[in-house]
Amino acid sequence: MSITTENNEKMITLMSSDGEEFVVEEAVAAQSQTIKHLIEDGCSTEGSIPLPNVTGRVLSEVIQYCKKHSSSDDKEEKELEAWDAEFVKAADDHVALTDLMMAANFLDIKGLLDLVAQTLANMITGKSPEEVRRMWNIKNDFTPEEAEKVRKENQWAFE
Amino acid sequence: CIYRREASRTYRPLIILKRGVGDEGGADRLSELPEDVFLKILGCLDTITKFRTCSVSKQWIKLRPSLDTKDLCIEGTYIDNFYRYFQHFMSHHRHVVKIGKFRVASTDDVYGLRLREIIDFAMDRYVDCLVLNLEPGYSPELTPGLSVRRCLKTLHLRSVIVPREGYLPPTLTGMALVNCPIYMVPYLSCSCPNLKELWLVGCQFDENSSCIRELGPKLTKLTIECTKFGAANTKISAPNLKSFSLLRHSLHDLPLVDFPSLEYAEVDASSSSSLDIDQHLPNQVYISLINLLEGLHNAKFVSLSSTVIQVLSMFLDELLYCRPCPFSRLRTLKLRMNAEEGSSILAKVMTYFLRSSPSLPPPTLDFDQPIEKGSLEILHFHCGIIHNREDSSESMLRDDKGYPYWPQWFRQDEYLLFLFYDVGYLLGGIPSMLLCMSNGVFCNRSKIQNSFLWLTPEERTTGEYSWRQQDFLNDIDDENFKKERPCKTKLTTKN
Repeated sequence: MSITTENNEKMITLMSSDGEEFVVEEAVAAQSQTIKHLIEDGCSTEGSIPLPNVTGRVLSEVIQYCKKHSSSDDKEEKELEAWDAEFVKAADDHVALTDLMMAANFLDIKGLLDLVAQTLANMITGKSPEEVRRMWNIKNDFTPEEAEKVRKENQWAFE
Repeated sequence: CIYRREASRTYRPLIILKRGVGDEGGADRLSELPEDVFLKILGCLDTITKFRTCSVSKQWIKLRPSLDTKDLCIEGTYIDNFYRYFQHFMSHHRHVVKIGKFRVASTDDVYGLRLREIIDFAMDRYVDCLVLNLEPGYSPELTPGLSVRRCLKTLHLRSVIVPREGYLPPTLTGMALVNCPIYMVPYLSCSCPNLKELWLVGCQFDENSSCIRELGPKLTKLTIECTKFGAANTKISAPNLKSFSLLRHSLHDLPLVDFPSLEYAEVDASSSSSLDIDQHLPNQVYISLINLLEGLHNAKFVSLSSTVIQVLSMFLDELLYCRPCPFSRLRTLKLRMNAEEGSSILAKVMTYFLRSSPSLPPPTLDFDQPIEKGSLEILHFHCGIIHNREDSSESMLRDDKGYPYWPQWFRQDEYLLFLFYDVGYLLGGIPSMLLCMSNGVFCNRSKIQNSFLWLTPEERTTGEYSWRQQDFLNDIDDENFKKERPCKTKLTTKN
C-alpha cells in the first residue's frame, strides 16, 4: 500500500506488533536499514509492513526520532545533539531505553542505536556490579565460590 | 514477505535470544538484549567499568573474551591481577589479540620495577599507542624492548628515563615526554626519522644539548612546555615544522629557532617562577625575545601571551621602532591578555606587530600618508585594551589638531571601528581585518562578551553603521584559530 502525497512524497504504512498502524514518509522510514531493504524488495506495495518485534509505543518514539533526523540534514549539529539528549531523557526509564535499543537494533538504525547504547553506558558508569544488578533487576547467579573467583580475577578492575 | 527473502539479505534476528534471569520483581530487560547489542553498550564504557560490569552475572561474564581491546587503560596497582587475567584470557584465543592503545598509570613505583614486562607485553600485542604514566620521583629507565616489533606509532612517557636513542622505535610518529630527563634530543632525527609530533613537557635538558640541531624532516608539530634548556642560546631548527608552541616558558631561557615552514606559533612565557616583570629585566631577555619572535617570521597564525606583550612594552621605544616587523606573513594575531591584571597593549607594541612592511618608519600622526596593505585578517584580543601610552589617564588621544589618534597599523580604506572603554578612543580603518575582543567592555558601558563588529561594504561607503553582536568566539576558538579563514569573512573591498 503506497500512498503518494501532493508533494510526491511516497508514504508507507508500518504496523507494530500490537496492530497499531503508522503512516510515514518513505524517506523517514528508510532511515531504518531493515525497512529500507524491505521497501527495495517490494514488500511495501503489498500492504503495511509488519514489525513483529516493535510495540506501538516504542515504534512511535522511533518514528519521532527518524522524522527529526530525516528533516534536519543540514541543520546545526548542536541543535540535533540537544534534541537527542532531550529524546533519551524523555525515555529516562532504563526499561524504556532497553526497548528502544531492541527496536533500534531490529530496525537497524545506527544513529539511534549508538545514542541509546551511550545513554545506557552512562547509566552503568560509576556503579558497582551489585548496583547494576539492583538497577536492572539482574539475579546474581554465581555461587559464593564462583563469585570469589570472579572477584579475584577481576580484582584489577576494582578499587 | 518479511521472511521471504532471508536468503538474499541478512536480517537482524527477529526472535529475542534468551529470556533474562530476572526474578519476580520485574523482568531483567538488559539480559534480554542480544549479545551483539549488549556488547555495543559495553563498548561505550571505559576499560575498568567494562570488565567490572561483566562480573554481574554468568551470562555476562561469558562475554569477556568478546570485549574489544582497542583502548586498554590500567591504573593503580592491579597489574598482577591484570596479567593473570589477561594470560588466562589470551589462552582462550589462538590468535594474538591486538590492543590498539595500552595505557598504564601508576601512583606508586610498582610499574617502574616491571617496566620491561609491561613493554614486552605491549609489544607482543602489537600496540599502536603506549602510554606509561608513572609517578614522578621514581623514574625508571626505558628498556630496549620497544623497537622489537616495529608497530608502535605513538609513545607517551611520564617520568621515564630514555637513556639512549636506540631505545626508541624508528616507527614512532608521535611522542610525548612529560617530566623526563632528556639526553637524546640531539639525536632524535636519526633515531625517529618519522616523528611528526613531539611534546616536551616539564623536561630538563642536560647541558650538552644546547643545540637541538635538526629535529627531523617530518616533524610538523612541536610543543615545548615548562621545559628547561640546559644552556643559554639553545637552538632549535626543523625544516618542515608547521606548528610551534612554547608554553609556560621562562623568559630567561628562550631558544633561538629556525622554522622555515612555520604556519602556527604560540608563545606563552608566563611562567610564574621567572617572572618579575616590574623589575628591570636583563637586556638579554629583550634581545632573546625579539630574536625568538623574528625566528617565527613565517608564521601566519600567531598567539602571544600577556607576558610577551608586557616585556615588549618595556622595550625602549627607539629600539622597538628600529626592529623590523617580526611577522612577514601574518594572517591572524591573537593576544591573550590577562583579565585580572587589566593588561593593556601599548600602541607601539601593536605597531611593532602589525607594521605591514619591515621598513616602515616609526608611526606618525600623518593621516595622508598612504599605508601599505598588509595581510592581517584577524586580530583577536582576549581581555585586552589598547592604550597609546603607559599613562592611560588621557582618556581620549588626540593629535595636535584635536583629531583622535588613529594608529597607523589600521588601514583606512576599509573601515572598522572599535571603541574601548576607559581609553575610549577610536581605532579605525582596517582592510580585510576582523577585530574581536573577548570579555571586552565598550565605551558605551554595555558589557558584551565575545563580540565583534565589522562593517559591510555599504556601511563603509555610507559611514552609517550600527553595533552588532555575535557569538564569534566559537568561530575563533583554538582549533579554528589555526585554520585559514574562509573567504567570506574577509572584508575586502576594492575601489
